[in-house]
Amino acid sequence: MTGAYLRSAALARFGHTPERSLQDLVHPPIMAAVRGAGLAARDIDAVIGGSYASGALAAQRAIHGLGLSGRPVLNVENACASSAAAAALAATLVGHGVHRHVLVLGVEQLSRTGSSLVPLNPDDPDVRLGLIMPAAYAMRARRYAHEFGATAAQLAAVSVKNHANGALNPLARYRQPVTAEEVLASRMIADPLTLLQCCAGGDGAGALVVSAEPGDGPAVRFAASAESAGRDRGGPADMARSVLTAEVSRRAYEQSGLGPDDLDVIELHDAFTIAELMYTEALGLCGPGEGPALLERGDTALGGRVAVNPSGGLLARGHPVGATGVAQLAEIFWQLRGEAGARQSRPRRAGLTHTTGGGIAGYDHAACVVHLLIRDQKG
Amino acid sequence: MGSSEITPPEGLAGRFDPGPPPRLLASRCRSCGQVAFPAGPHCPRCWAGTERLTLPAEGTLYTFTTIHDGGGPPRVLGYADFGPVRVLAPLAGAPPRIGARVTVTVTTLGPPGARYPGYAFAVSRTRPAGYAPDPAGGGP
Repeated sequence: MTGAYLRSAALARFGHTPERSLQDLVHPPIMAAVRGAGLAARDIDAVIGGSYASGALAAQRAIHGLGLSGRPVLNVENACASSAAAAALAATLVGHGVHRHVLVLGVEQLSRTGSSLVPLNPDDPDVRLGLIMPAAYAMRARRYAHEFGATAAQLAAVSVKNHANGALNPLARYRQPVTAEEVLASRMIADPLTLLQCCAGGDGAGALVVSAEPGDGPAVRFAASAESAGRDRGGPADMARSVLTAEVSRRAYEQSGLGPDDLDVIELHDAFTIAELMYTEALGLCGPGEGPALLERGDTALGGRVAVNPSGGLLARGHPVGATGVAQLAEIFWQLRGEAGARQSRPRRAGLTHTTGGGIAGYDHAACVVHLLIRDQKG
Repeated sequence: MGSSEITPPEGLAGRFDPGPPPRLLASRCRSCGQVAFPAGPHCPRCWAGTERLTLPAEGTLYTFTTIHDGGGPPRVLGYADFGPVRVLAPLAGAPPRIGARVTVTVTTLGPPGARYPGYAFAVSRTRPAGYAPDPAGGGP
């Protein structure tokens, strides 16, 4: 391994823009990322796109008109973890010397699917039984509350924290702080989860350049990239603990030599409030059932021991499915380089992204990707 | 590799025997004993052949939620444990509680005009032996 660097990152503000074409959505971040890397289109060796519901050949369509074709162009689909998986593939190819500069795309246009819900496979048996993603997480929340005694107010606190962070992020879809009372009084979606405890899909795009050498400014290196599909157990094994996230993050910690205590900042998959509580536990920041206390102590706040979802997370930044992994990596890139503006409460050296993909019967989760990034000390 | 007459079910067909009484259909590995739901021709652990296993008539509710889709009436969905497998289905009957007993019922699912046969769980009013009240009061 020669190492892979996150050399640049660019993101378009997430939102609801059915009038925009795929190219209109993704071209600005592509151009910003390539220019930000100090490169031109001819320098890019390969393009890897992550998208979930944008149809066939999304990456080829996304780059059309920018002179980026005529080289390897790959499409990665892994539900919500699509572009996180695309970045893992890029880091592997660059780290092993196959390519020098890889452009990673994350793009999604859910507004064009005509539903606010993440589209699931209609032939999936769980979907035929009536499952929607909010219900899958609501059932985790109820089991979690049953085992650990968590309260509705403790769930709401996740939404309050992440909306407060999103209010500081010009690229977040939702920039209004919310109170716990507002969270709990919002419309019930799948009890105990109310509307303000559920992420919104929408549209969004982002781009990264993964390179064998860093560009100008602080160097941000991939210290580890680990991923796995969930076990084919026939059903969810433990709905109060995320077994898959624990397994994948343990592998990432082993690869990098870093542990949860070394992390300064995390972007994790808070598709619903309960998800952040369970994932902070599974990532090893605290023990099972201790997520609410970790949050209440302020440990995961912007200025806390380890900032969790400083961007606002999926809850406030928005969750255009295939674009989320790239957006998480972009936030960690800015945080480690000291470029996160009002969300930069202090210098940070080590960061983690965590993305999961769900929505399939018979697995405890469809996919999980964890990246560990570290800012290299200048020699 | 062993043989089996079980074919992998598509959708919900083959996942249940409508009865009466209705029962969920799993498979058990002829070599290592692993139980799989839905039933499959090959053991997911060792790939040996399988035999049909009819799951117990009664399950225990593991978790549930009430979904407010907007438009239609709220609907309840839950996971229940039938022996070694955890199975998802719509819930009917008594108000659900974690730990409640459920039995399999036959129902029709899907949107108007595209209905298909499926199964649901009827929540029993009686408590199972050894049932401990939920200290959290059934959820947040």
